[in-house]
Amino acid sequence: MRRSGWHVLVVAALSAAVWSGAAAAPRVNGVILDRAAPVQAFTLEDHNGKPFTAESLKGRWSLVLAGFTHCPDVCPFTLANLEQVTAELGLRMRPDRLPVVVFLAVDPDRDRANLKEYVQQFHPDFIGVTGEIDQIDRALKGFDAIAVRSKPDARGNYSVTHSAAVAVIDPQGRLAAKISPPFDVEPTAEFLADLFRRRGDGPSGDRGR
Amino acid sequence: MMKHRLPLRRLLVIGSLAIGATFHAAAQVPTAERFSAENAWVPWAPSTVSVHAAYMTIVNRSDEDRFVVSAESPDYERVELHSSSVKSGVAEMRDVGQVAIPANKRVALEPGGLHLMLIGPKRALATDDRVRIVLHLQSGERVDVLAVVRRRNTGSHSGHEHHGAPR
Repeated sequence: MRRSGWHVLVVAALSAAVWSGAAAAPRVNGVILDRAAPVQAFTLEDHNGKPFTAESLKGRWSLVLAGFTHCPDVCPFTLANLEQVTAELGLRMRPDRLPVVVFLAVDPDRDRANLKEYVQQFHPDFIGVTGEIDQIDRALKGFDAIAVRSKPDARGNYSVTHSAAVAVIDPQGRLAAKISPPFDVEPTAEFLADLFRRRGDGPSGDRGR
Repeated sequence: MMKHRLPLRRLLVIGSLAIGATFHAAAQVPTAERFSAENAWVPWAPSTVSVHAAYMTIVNRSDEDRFVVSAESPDYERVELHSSSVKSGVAEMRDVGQVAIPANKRVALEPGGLHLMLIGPKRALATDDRVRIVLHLQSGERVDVLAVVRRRNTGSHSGHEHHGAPR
């Protein structure tokens, strides 16, 4: 099964000394695939209305997370952390090697109208993508993620339950790793920098295979 | 039989006096000194975003447990008590109905956990704006909160600051 292809790397407590005894040590839970998995084809649109497909992921590393714009807590928290992770990586590598952050909005009825503003509040380079439900579901499958929309309440409000992990897509457009909360900035950046180094961090680099 | 009545009545009288005294003592300490919300903030969001969150540390300095059962804000159509959690890798947000603030304890509402969900902003909020929120306790008391609107990434490495919040 696919699961057997994973091995777990937990990067813990890299800068624990900074924190007081009572505070939790900063962490990231990173899982690297033994064999990067190609992402199946999908057709979505980015926040400017331009097509965004599995091919769009090629050429650089990407960090993809599923979420929805009516999510006030977990999604913004993760996006804000990824912004800081990207800034931290910016101190370690050239700008063209930095990963692009892609927010896969799984609630298109509500997300289309404000997707651009939502993602760009965190960083102007962040990309929001959404589309038809069947295409979103195809993309989710490729990122080994899920999203479940709850039944609307009497007021018509509903929530969306979704994977908390961030999919790390390599420059060949393949699922290379997943990172899970907490996304503490330094260990997350360290995990990603290490992964990029191992796999070769240029668009054509794939020395690990 | 009859002779028991009087002492019982006396006991009742003494008992009610004692209860009355307790209420009287409690009433003398203003609610604001027994319950407060510290470091309340609302992450800034673009005007097109119709749900916001509010975070704070609720402090109960009294010797009795209290429960926040609802909240409201003049700046929002509705406020709900929510909790986010990650179970088996899936992020979920649910309406928790009430938040317990145990006697002499502090409860942190912070990113990725308990928070107030602010629904339907009535005005566009800019950073440094103040948002008034009222927490209603099951006891009938209320806690007035003034939350500041600020960006998530400002301050001292805000991605980490939740670690410092008292639990």
